[in-house]
Amino acid sequence: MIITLIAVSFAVFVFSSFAEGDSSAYILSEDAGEDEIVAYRDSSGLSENTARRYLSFLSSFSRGDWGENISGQSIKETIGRRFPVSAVLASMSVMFSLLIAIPLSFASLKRGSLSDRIVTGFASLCASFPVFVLSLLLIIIFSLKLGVFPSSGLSRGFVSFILPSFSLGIVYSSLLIRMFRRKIREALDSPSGFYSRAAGLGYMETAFAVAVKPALPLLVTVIGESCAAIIGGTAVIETVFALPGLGSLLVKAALERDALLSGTIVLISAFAVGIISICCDIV
Amino acid sequence: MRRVGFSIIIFLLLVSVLVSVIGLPAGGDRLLPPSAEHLFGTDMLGRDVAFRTAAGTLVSAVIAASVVILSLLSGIILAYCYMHPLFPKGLLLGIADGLKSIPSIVLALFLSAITGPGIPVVVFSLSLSHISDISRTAYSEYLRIAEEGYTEAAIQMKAKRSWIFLHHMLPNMKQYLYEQGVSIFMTAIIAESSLSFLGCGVPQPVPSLGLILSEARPVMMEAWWMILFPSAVLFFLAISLQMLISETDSSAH
Repeated sequence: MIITLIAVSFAVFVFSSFAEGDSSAYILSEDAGEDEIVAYRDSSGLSENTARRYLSFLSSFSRGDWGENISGQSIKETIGRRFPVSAVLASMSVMFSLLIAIPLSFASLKRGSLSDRIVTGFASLCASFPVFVLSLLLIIIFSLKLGVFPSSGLSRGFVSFILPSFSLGIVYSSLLIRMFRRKIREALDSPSGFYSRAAGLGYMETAFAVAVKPALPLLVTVIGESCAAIIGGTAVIETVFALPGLGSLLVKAALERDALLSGTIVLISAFAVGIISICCDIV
Repeated sequence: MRRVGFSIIIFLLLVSVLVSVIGLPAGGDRLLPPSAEHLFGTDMLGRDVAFRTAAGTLVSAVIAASVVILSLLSGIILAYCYMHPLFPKGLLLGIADGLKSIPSIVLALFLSAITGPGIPVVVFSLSLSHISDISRTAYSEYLRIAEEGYTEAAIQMKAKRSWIFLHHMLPNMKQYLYEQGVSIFMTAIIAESSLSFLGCGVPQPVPSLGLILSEARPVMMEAWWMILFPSAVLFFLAISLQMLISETDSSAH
């Protein structure tokens, strides 16, 4: 996690200073003389060596001074305004995917049964839909035809989150189903599973005793392991539904080629993923 | 299942190649519904959707294939490096673990913010996030094979590292490389189309499934054919690729 943060922050620093070239070319007028350029570089610390600039970048970043984006707005304020939207979207998606994945993976415990095949089919069906295709389908059905949920924006508060997080949750649930099932089946195939079966417990009883109970803490681990996938998905979903979150901000930054803004978001999301996975490890 | 998946993929790719080679009649009115002349209808600029879908499928397939080749090659090279006792495995695995916390789409968006969108950026960033994955799985694969009796025997007999690699490592990694290759191909196709849909993937004039779908968005109620056909192709590609892996999955157990 610390290695990641250092690597990402370094990449952000290197690339954003590359992309800018040297900000003296932008700030000063074209006919600025050599002296002026040197003076500007001295005053803004550009003439110092790279290592020292990186350290000062790090220290100002950790103090919360994240600089400004291309159009001059404070990055910190923009991110602060948009972060809650993404947080709500991500947590609702996790909730939806758990609601879908837990019953389905329990239903498919018995290997080769009809319900197992159906669930397997469902999981691979979901995994085959790119998030954006699925959300377009849901928009067509639920907003344009039925008019139940809004197709974009946050105008209706909580209700506006249902469709986006549902489509993200469906795609994510296929991932969860696979992971749960693999873990549960591993437990069933283990010696303790074998002996409980031999001792006369039924298939489902064994599954609950040997696999499901130990698997519950695993839920947390699985979520921690795969939360990066959700964050990647929010970038797509927020753009499709025009939600003002971090994901759509990242897309906007990419389109406007705002290296510092996008780097900051990447750094924050890597940080969030790291924190979440550490928390899940502790639990 | 595997045969079905394989035939669907071959069929899709063959049709795409044929259609792109023949080159359907361009021109025509804007937003025509499907007809005999324009099988999939036309888009807002009067371009034939069937032709664009076929060409887009090829573009996506080529991008995904290059991601697969890059990632698998680095997996093979890494497996060879792991055999060297001085290779800094811990450091590499640490970096790979770190990269895991950045989703591939986020990485691609970040890189395209720096360099501007383009096919090389897409290929590079998707490969990079797969390589971080592959460096870990290739390591466990290396450990598995290194523990085998025949590998240890070869080491005892002072066989050259490259000989062990060619005769024991590579043949034993075949199954692993195949499964990885197919699943990387699938995730790469999905990720590429998502990126193009967002406008950060394949640049404008080049057709891509994601790009066609993003062009279709504003007119999706009037022009259903612009949504239906490209997403159907995308869907069939992904599901047939899944059939290719699911077969090997169940045969392994």
